[in-house]
Amino acid sequence: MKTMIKSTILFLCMFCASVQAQGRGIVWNGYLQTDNRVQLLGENDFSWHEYRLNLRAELSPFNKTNFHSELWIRTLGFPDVQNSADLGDNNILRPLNLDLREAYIDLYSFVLPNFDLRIGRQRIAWGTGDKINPTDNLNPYDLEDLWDFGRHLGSDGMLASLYLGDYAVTTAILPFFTPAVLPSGDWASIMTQTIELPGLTVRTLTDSIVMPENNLRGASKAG
Amino acid sequence: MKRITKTTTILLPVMFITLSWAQPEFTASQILERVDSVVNAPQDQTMNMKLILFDKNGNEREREIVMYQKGGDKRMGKILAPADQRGIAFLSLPGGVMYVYLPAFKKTRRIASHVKNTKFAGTDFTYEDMEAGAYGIKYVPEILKHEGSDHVLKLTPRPEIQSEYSMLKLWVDEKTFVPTKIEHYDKGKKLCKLMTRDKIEETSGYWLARESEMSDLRNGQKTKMIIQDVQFNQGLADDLFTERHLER
Repeated sequence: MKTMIKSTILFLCMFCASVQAQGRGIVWNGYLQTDNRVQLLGENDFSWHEYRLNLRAELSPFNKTNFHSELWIRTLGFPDVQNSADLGDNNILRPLNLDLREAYIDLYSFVLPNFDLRIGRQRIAWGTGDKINPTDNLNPYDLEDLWDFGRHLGSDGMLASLYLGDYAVTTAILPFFTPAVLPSGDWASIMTQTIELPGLTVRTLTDSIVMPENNLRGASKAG
Repeated sequence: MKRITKTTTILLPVMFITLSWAQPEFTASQILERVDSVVNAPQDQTMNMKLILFDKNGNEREREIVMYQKGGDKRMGKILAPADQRGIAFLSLPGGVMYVYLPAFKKTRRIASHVKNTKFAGTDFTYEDMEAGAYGIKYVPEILKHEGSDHVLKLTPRPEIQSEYSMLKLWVDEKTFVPTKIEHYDKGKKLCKLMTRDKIEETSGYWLARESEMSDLRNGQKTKMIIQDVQFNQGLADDLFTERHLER
């Protein structure tokens, strides 16, 4: 198994080097989005401040091979300066966030003419619903912005599709577990309601999350 | 002998003129058959097109699209530009089966008949307009009149076809059988869209309208479709016209 993992890592490194070496033929596209929100009631607080540069790159370095990546470069939130020392920290003044949403390689007709393989960080949308879709549960929810409900994070894994006429058998293996992102901003408290017990006052509350084991036994598989 | 020669000399031009006037009378079905055979003549075609969208104030937006067609009943179109729409694709298969792939959702959806009146990627072409398929399969033709050098046909959707239009009026060039103008009438039998086809020329032995314009008379918008590059009979595989390739 170790050899296999080593081989995979080596292959991916070689592929990255190859992509870099090509340099041309890459199709770039993307967008710049600004999102600023203000509350209409109360003190008219600003509730969201985001600048997002979305960069997508596509490349077909070899026949029947396609590379796709999507990167968000963004500043999100407001300066959180607590003391004078913070004024020298650019990460506090203008927090920058890099989010690799997707980065995968497609191998079309891999080994068999009717077999496709996708390896890397990817969004696997299952089912037909867009926003509320109980079957779309392979990728964790990204609830950071509740107004963009339905957004999912990409998951690192492998997606294999075998096409048989009008049908396709699809298998997904997601070795690494990524937890969902909870809302931030105005909606931060929606998932952490205060607990009130009759006659009792809760002074402190701690919680802990048990994550799946970081090994192949804890990996998600679906087909 | 001289008399016979004289008579023949007079009769021949008269016969020639008479024959010239007596052009073959086509029935509506025959005209539509010829239209279908001209429009879908190539075994397959690959077209790179530019779509220019004009709003009612004359502002322009552009889309670039590649369209593949095999025979008369398989068609796939993919948007190449702008960046925010790149990858949106549709697939039209025999029997009115249509799919659309939306990269933002990473999903392929079948387009139900009742939503084929939805505009494709903000253009004035609906999915029904973009659908492949012979006119003869979808419509019952009827000759309305002869106008200039065009046959004018009234096309009524066959009972088994669900269409957003109550009828079409089709102007067909009498010599080439290429459609030159199409009027679209809504369910209230009111003219709602007008398609004109210009720069009709023969390319590699096939008739082609290099420019088409679809005007939506309800909102004053229009979309111009310009064929920038076309290739015929490249041997496109059936495999290309599948959901699998739609998502690539």
